[in-house]
Amino acid sequence: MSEFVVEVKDLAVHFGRAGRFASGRVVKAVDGVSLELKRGQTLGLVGESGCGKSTLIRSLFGLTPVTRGSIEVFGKDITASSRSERKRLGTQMQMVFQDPYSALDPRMTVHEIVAEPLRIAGRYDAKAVAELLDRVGVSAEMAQRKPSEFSGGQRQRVGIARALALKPEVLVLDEPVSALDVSIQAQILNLLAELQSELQLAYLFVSHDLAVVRHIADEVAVMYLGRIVERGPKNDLFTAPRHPYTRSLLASAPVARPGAARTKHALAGEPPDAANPPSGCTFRTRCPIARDRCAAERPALGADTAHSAACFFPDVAAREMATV
Amino acid sequence: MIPTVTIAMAVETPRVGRRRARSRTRGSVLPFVGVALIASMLLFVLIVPLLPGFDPLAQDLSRARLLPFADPAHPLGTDAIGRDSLSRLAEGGRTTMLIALAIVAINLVLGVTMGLCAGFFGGWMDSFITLVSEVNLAMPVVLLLIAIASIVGPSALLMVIVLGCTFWMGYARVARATAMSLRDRDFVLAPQMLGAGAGWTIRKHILPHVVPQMLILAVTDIGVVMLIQAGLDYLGLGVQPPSPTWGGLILEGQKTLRIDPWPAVLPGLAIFLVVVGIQFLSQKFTAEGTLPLRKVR
Repeated sequence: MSEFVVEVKDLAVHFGRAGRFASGRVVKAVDGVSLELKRGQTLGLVGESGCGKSTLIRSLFGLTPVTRGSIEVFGKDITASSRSERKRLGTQMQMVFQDPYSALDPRMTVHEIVAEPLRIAGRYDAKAVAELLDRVGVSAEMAQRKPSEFSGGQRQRVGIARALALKPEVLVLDEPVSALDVSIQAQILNLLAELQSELQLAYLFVSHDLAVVRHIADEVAVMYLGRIVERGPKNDLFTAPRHPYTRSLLASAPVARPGAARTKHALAGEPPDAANPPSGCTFRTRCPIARDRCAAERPALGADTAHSAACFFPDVAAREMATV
Repeated sequence: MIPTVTIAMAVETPRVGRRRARSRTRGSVLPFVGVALIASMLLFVLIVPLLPGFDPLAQDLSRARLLPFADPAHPLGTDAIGRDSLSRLAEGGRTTMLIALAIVAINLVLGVTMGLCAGFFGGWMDSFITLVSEVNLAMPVVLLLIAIASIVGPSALLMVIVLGCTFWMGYARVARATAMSLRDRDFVLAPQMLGAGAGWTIRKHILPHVVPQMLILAVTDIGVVMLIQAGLDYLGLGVQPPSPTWGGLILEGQKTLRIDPWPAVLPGLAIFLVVVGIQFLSQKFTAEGTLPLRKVR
């Protein structure tokens, strides 16, 4: 078995059909993404809205048909898995949703919500549910209440308990703290960190909050318009970003110190239409250092090095976009 | 000075508005009148058959066409062939209400099933079910019933089947809309990520949100169905004589309407009271805007 618990190879998810009777508009929501997730590690996936993060996650769970590529979970391709295989997959990989308000059925008690995965798997055990709730910090007397009586942070704890019910080794966290207050965010992040070291969990942590990713991730991948434009170990990527998009993202993060200098390369404009992306490098329309070559050719992500960027001019980016 | 006044008004206005809104819905007595009407009619059709002398079919031509209160043995009088009006009214009411309930139950099951499938699965299933329901809506039910009844003969069972299969669209529409609005919610996706099938997901996470709305629709519909059914009985397309129904009683009573209006007026009054009672009751739901699917947020 490989060292990776999840290995996504050249994954593409296209919506709309090309063909004589189709509208001809094909949206390449995910287009050639490769990711590797190691046991017990956290991979941060960063990108602005509409870049394909959510589609990528949905395809991991078979909710969206895959156009091309493979997704291997513990060495087994799951892109064409049957329902029984998917049940087994549920014991290996689980998900925590972004919005704790829509993630829990408002008509079920918290106990029932956490019990549901066990019931689907056919091994309901009230004691196990109580232990799960206790582990995430939801007291036993709250178990018979409905989600509407819980705060956002408590709901997210319930969501985590549900995700852990089948003892998975991989958790996909879809912006798990972005809907929460900052003080609650820290509590949830700490809970996630504790659970990770305790249960040897691997996290795929999707977020647009760079500070959070910097806090929790071991490795970071930056996504733009359906592609990964840069990836590398957290510290390398944050201290010496190589792609102009990553630089712009870092530059646009708010600065804590009042009066601190802001860089001039904060990102401007909207991402281009995914149904009609620019030729060559898809970022060139917003890139401050774009050259002729960027419109003609599409830069590839280097596969050999730990830290690589899909850019022809990473050194120019480093020189011209350095923080003021 | 002026700012203070503004603030006071800003604080005061919503509270007054809220109190008014509350009194408008809670203070209404109509729903209680409705419940009282329905309950008394139910008691009537259930208790009268227990009284001594109850017999909706026994004829006594020597005591035909008695006026109400003329004879203690027949408190509401007798019809043209001397059958006890009170007994026939109660027996007819029981049949009428039972049939209305049966029809609404079939509508409910059919409509919820169709609506949930259309809304949850979407695609061709949605298109097909929508098409069927639109064809159904365009169909004149009475003509359909006359056509079928002319082939197989009119009967209560036929009426239940035909009405049961032609009034489900309202339920289907609401169930479909709810299913569509829920199917992409995370709590509906979560079990599917665990390998739960569509049946599990619909039963556990969508049906419970639909049931309260459906019950409200059903309560309102019972009145409508009773009216239609009475009309069909009146036309001779439903329950066959000598079994009494309210619609059938009006048909019989109409023949002697000029000389003795009571046999037609009493069942008419009964239908009126039940339907009005149901309408009053259903006002409670609509007035409070109780779409029971609470906004989750």
